[in-house]
Amino acid sequence: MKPIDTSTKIPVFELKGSVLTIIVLHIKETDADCLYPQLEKKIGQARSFFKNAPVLIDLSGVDEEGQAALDFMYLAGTLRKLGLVPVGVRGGAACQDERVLHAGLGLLPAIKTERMATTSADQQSSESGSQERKNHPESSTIVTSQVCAVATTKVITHPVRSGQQVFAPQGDLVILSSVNAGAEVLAAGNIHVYGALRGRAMAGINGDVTARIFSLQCNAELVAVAGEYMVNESLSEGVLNQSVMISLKDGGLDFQVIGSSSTVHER
Amino acid sequence: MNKEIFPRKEEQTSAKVVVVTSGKGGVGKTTTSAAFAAGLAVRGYKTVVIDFDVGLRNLDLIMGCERRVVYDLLNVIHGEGSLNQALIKDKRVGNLFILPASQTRDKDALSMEGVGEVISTLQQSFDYIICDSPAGIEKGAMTAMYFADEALVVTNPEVSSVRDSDRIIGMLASKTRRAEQDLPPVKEHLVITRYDPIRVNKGDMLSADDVQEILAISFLGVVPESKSVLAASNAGIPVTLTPESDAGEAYFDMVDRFLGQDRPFRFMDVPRRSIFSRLFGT
Repeated sequence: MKPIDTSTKIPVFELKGSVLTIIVLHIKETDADCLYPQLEKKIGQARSFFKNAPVLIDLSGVDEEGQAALDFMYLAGTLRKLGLVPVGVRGGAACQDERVLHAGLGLLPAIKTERMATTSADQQSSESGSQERKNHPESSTIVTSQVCAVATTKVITHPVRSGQQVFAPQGDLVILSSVNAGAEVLAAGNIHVYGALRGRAMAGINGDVTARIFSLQCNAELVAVAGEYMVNESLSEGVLNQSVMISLKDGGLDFQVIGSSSTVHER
Repeated sequence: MNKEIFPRKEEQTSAKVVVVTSGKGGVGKTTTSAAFAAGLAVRGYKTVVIDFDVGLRNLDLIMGCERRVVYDLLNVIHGEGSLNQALIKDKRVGNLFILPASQTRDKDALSMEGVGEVISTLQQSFDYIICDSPAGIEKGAMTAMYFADEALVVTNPEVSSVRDSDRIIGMLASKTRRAEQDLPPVKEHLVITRYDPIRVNKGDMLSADDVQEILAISFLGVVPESKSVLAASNAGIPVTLTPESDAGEAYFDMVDRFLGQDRPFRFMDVPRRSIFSRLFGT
């Protein structure tokens, strides 16, 4: 038996950052008599949906006094009892860090512009969300939302011309015309081009590996999904000027001719 | 010119400002400006053509008035001469005027306010103001297009010219007075010059359909590759004023289409060979 060489240079793991979707619990009121019964009622209604789901606790809507009144240990315990897996706290004051860590939760910095799906109709503005939460204490104190759940789609009706750049930083990008050579279209989500794609298209620029590019006529200078790219020269004859869907598959770009029975896979 | 600020006439039906632009150089902007302006004048519209190519002035040569230039556009802007002193009346067509560019200055000397004043003054006495843009996307070209109501985008049937035109069309939609003041957008017209149907059929040249598909703006027509263009340029005659010129006829078709008339598209197909050349196989 060979002795195990612990100084081996071959890495056996990789550490990588990743953008992912997670349920966020936005707490707006920390009064235990109010919070826990509502939490149990709301999550109890859809226990199977929330079963074993990781959840992030967001405190950006609670002032420091309210945060001090919150028992993180008890909150985490309650969430676990309800079938959720609390993973961390976001937007808490610095003085709460120790108590958060003691409760076995991670720490995340607050984010400023986040889109949320709220349950109450009077809270539609996401940018002023925390402000409104303070102004409407009578509304539901708990808001569960999925980050990126409501991403806006940008629709462009005119041709995107050489030198122009169209950017959809939140969601999908739909172009009802052509993207000409020398133009660039970028989106956090999918890109649809209902015309010829002759310029550059980059989908999933924040790392969304499920993003796709659709084009009625693909002759792109460059296509990229979540950082994986291909230039025109490396596109196969079978997909050039065809209607295609481009997605990420096994770490490479996969081209599928759409609108016809033939399927071309290009890696 | 006097320093009064003339009120801008918004959305008037007369005195349309038309920029002739392309992005790329050498595609025929000046030839088109001269031919189009002369064509409009022949059709009875009082027309002035302004050369914006400060430092590389050519329009006066093409128009054949280079020996009559005293004051130029920059002199007018800087108050060194009056507009009437700078305007040169064409000797062939009564209602055609030329406002030449300065050859000794550079394009940075063009001020947007000054050009705006000149154009609004001209709008009071003319029907059409044709702005001959310099090549490129720098200050001269930007100034020439800024006040435009309509644009003639001059393109050669080859890829680099088409791409540059595409860039210019994008700028017409974003960098002009109409775009900045939220007025109806500049109306763009596609003019394809140096078109040779024989080479298109051979696949050496982009077809008019290809160019239209990429640029997606209204198509005004093609100007055939023609010896008469060079001859007219060297003689200092706008090609629309030379007799029996195919290019001149093509420009007149475009002028008429521009004025709202229906004209069949010509010079787009290979001319039929005569029975003799077919028989004797030239």
